[in-house]
Amino acid sequence: MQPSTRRMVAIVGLGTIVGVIMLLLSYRYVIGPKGVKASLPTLSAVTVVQGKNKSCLDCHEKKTPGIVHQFFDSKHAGRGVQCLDCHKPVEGQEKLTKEHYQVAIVAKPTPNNCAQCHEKEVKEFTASNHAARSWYAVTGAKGFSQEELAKYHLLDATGQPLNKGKPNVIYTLIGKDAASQSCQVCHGIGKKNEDGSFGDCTKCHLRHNFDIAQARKPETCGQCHLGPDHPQIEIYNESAHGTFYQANKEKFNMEAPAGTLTVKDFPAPTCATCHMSAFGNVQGTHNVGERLKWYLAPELAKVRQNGEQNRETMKAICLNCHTQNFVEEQMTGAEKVIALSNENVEKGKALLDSLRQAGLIGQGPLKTPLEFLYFELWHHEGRRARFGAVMGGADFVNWHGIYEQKKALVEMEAEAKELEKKH
Amino acid sequence: MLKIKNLRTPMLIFSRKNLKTKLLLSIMALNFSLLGVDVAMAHSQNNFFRWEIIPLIYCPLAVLATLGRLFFLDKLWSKRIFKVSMWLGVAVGVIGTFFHLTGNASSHWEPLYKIVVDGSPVAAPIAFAGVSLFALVSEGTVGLERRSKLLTLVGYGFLGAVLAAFFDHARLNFEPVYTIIPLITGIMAIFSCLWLAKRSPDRGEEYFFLAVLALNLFAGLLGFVFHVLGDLAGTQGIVFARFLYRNPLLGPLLFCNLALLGGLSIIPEPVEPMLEWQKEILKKSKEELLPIR
Repeated sequence: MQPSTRRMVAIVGLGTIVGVIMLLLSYRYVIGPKGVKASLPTLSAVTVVQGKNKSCLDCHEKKTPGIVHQFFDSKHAGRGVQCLDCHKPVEGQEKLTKEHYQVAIVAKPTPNNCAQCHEKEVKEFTASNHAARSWYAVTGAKGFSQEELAKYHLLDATGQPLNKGKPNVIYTLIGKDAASQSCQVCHGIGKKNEDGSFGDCTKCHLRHNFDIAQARKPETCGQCHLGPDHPQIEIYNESAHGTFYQANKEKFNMEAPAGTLTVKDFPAPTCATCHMSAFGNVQGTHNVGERLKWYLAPELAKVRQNGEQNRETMKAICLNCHTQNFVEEQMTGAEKVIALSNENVEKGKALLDSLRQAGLIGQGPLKTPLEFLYFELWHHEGRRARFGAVMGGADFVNWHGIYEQKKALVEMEAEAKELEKKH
Repeated sequence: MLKIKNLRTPMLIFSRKNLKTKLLLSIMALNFSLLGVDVAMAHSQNNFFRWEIIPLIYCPLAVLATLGRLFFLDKLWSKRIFKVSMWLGVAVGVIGTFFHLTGNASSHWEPLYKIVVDGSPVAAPIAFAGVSLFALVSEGTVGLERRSKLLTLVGYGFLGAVLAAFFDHARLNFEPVYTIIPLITGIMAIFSCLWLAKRSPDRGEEYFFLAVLALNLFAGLLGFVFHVLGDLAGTQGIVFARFLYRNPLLGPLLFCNLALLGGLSIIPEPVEPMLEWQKEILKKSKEELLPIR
């Protein structure tokens, strides 16, 4: 080997060793997660400070720095979305428009504003139970036009509004003041807006940040899906899926790009994985019912329109981790529990109807202990057993579900006998 | 029996007038096309939001300008269009890098990790500037000067590729450890290119240089396979979105591309005819030296 070649080999070898060490050290001490911090002029700052948007920042950086920070921390900011891109009024928002320091704005943007860029997502959300149907549950038909009732499938077979247009019986029981601080907080996800849209995207996506990771975490769903009548978060936490999540949160890739998720990113499913996310070969959706066979929340569980097709979509999610036999077995087992819970509800309902026909109780709801027993038989215990069965929550199938239903039936029968004795 | 020195004979075909230039321009047109495909895939994630359409408008223009120059090498108009287009490419690369950097940043102090690793790939847009400069040099000069400039640019190209791989693999915290392979082979290539750019190498240096390029070619292909396997992992079938937004398919092939460009850079240049005054000096020196011998 020529001396010059030897020199070249030596320099390349030495340079490579030094170079790799420098890069790894710079990762360790400079650019790694624990490295130095820097401040750069940002794309969003460059664009936001144009025109009217500059005024927004001038004030809000002082008055509400929190939301400005959230915005700058968002992907929206990184992609040059400006304040008025979301807050400027769109068609149909005349009633929502306010003049704010000589700028026409919508203080609280609705899904119609989001739809400027996220049309598909808004359309899917609007078709879901999270939108108009969620709001109908607390307010009834009040505030809905006939067209809206028809559009959002809120009419029964006779063309009359569901539940005779009445709000949920609990809304009336506790009164509007308590309901506004309870029922409406969660059901506000589908609240009717003055521009005719339904819903509030910020219930799941933190306002001004709109982090996708937040919507993928079960804790976000759990802010509403908890408690005695729809304890999905408790059921999830009890299930094998939730247990794995709790023990291995750090292994989940919550920030993975939409449409790319596989078991490599989510080794166990979160709520969003099964109900919404594009996962494996399944397309994503913001219609949370699009993969469900059953309506499990009503008095009697019933199969959805396109229920069988929806179930096939859900199976395709399950099959990323489970065998076909296992999935079929679980789903068949769950259907047996659903049937059993329905059977118990029907028994209770029959008992209540016979007492009503005999004139032993009145027509109004929740006037006697027996009616409370029946209400909880379907509204609490029935749902819990069903949700527990489909989501793998054993305790909710039995102790909070079927067991409680059986107990309630015995109590109802005893109450009925007492009533019959008295009359 | 095949002798290594005989392998140099086919290379002599490139010494024909303009053949190397044409070959390099062809490769540059291909580079611009692939850059366009790569950027289209990446920016489709954002529905080509605002300025993200710029490189997609630029790429077809650059391809046309390069092909125009390739087929009309003796026309002045093709030269002018080509030069303007390539300098535009340099601007696109620099502005793109600025956009990626500032797009990843907030106005507040934050970890560099977020600015250069966790977001838009900051080392990617500069490829436009690199390819444009390489094309400019390919067309603009000949002889040893071109060879030297091309090797320098390939060296800086490898630097960009190493940084891109470094930032990309930093997301994985360099796990598994084989994700540092492109850093090693790439840095070897940087030093080799820069070394050769400054020298008139002997055959040993050239062979070592070619071996380093071959290593990078292999690393690029290996990386391509790893990226594909990574995109397929954890799925029951092919999820196309993963090829778009996860392990970039064309990323590792950048090392193959640069290895190819490095190899093409050292193709023998056409020998320039000696000028009269040079002949005089040579003649004189021979006459003066002869008696000493």
